[in-house]
Amino acid sequence: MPARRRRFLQSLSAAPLLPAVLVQAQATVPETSPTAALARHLAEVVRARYGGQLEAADLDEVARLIGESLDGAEKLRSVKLGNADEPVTLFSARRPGPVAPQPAPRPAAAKRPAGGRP
Amino acid sequence: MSALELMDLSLAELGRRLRARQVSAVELAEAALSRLERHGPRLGAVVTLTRELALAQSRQADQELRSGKDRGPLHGIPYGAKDLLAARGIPTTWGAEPLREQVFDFDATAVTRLREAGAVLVAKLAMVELAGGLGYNNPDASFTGPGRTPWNPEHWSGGSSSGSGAAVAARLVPFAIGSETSGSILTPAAFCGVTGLRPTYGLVSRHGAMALSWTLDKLGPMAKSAEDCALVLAALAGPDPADPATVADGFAWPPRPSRRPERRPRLGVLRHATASAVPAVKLAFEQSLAVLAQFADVDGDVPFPDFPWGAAVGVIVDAEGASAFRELIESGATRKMRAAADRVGGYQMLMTLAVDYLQAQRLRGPMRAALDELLSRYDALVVPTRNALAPRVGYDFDKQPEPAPSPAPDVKKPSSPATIPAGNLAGLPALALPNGFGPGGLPTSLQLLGRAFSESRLVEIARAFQAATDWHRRRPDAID
Repeated sequence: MPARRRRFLQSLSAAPLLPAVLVQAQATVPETSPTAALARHLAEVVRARYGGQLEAADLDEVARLIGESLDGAEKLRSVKLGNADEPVTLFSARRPGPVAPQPAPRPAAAKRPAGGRP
Repeated sequence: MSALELMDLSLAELGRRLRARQVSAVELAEAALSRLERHGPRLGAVVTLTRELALAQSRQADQELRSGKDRGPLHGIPYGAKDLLAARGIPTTWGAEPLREQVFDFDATAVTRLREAGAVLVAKLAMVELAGGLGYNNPDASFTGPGRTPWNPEHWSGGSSSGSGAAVAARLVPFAIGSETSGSILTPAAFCGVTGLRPTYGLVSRHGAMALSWTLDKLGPMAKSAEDCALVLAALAGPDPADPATVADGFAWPPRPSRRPERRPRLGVLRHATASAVPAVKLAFEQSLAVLAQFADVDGDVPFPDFPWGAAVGVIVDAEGASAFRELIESGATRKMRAAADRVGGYQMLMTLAVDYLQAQRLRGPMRAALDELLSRYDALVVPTRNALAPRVGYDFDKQPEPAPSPAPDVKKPSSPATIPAGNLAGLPALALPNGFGPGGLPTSLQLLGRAFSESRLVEIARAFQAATDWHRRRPDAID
């Protein structure tokens, strides 16, 4: 994994008059972000599902990560795709279509002379 | 000959001495075990020594050679496996505290194939917990502690195949197996000054290996030289019904003689290849280009396709990793992980939107086509493997690299192409080759990125580079 897959947001701003946990979730996502509202709602889902496992500070961190992740996902929309562009399911590294000849499967190891050509 | 000197030999030389009865497989296994025991803990490189198994396998290897049964180039050679590969009856911890007691009752296909090739498993090697899938933000992200590069143990060995890189560099084992989802072979190879080979997706079975991302995960060798990596890959590669992603293509080394005349390799140097590099990496890269030009045609300023490579890898790993580890995360067990970021990262991953995941997977078709088109003109693209040297242990990845890049980071300038996520999204093979040293005695590395299933060509290029240089033969003085 790349070491810097996630970068933590730098600043927080608190919003008053909301439940404490939701305040923390809301505070972690910059209001200027187009994904801010969605991030707040998803952070609330985490609180509802897993709040018993997480401290308030953890939920705050999760909220920040969700905002960052959603912002990353927004970048994927910068590439124009057609209706027929299928998602990869069982991925093949070989591009579909004619391909250059490939080496034949290797012989069984037991038949290969030591250090020599098979 | 000392244990260090034995572990410093190439696989071909070890094989020659085994067959000449100058050394036995048992002696090699004991040499590796003694070095792993002595140096492994302080490098954070070892999880489990497999002493009993190693001695049994090495005794069998010796007996077979005496009776005329020769399994090939790996016969009697000790190796270490990243601790995400199942080995029957031996703990397989995935680097994670909650899984320290996990034991499988079967061998991973990679372990089986290496055994059938006569190799001797001496250790399960340390790794970043869950291969870094939960978003670790610091080198201290394994229950065995941070991996340390033998060149300067105050610095990280890279991840997530941390122990594999460090063990090869410190001459604890002649070769090791690592895995890569997006950078986990290439990065420790770079930070440890060893050669790492990331094979084409589907060339090596992942059956019995921890899954982080089914559409990205790959297993591959780490060793001193490209030649050694090729010998190991030849034993690993091939179809496996237990891993539906595997393809019929095998890999043979040495390659079969071609009827076509040998031609000079054609290499493409990517535009802005060193734009984000620290000075030592840039200098080593420029010197490497001069070496490559001695035997290859080198084109400069080659543009790299513009896609959101990093974002796509992030979304795919989030979604597939959340699914793969859902039970672990929801049980609360990941709260016991070593790295603080890993204790919360899984919860964020569980919130990945399906439509975002599918968008990322849809992009892989155009991404693959763009890279295949570019690579149809070159035998390999060349860039620095990593733009920075190994960071200090204790360093948080979301801080600026050390030393700070010049000019200051707020100055707008182009950034280096994201070849690691790009190569992984397209399932392409790559080699990381040691190519110099920077401040603190820390190694630098050169990456060769090739077309799908072009491993033979990449290894030929790498072999020519390593014949003209000695970076891969250097060994760290501090590890005697």
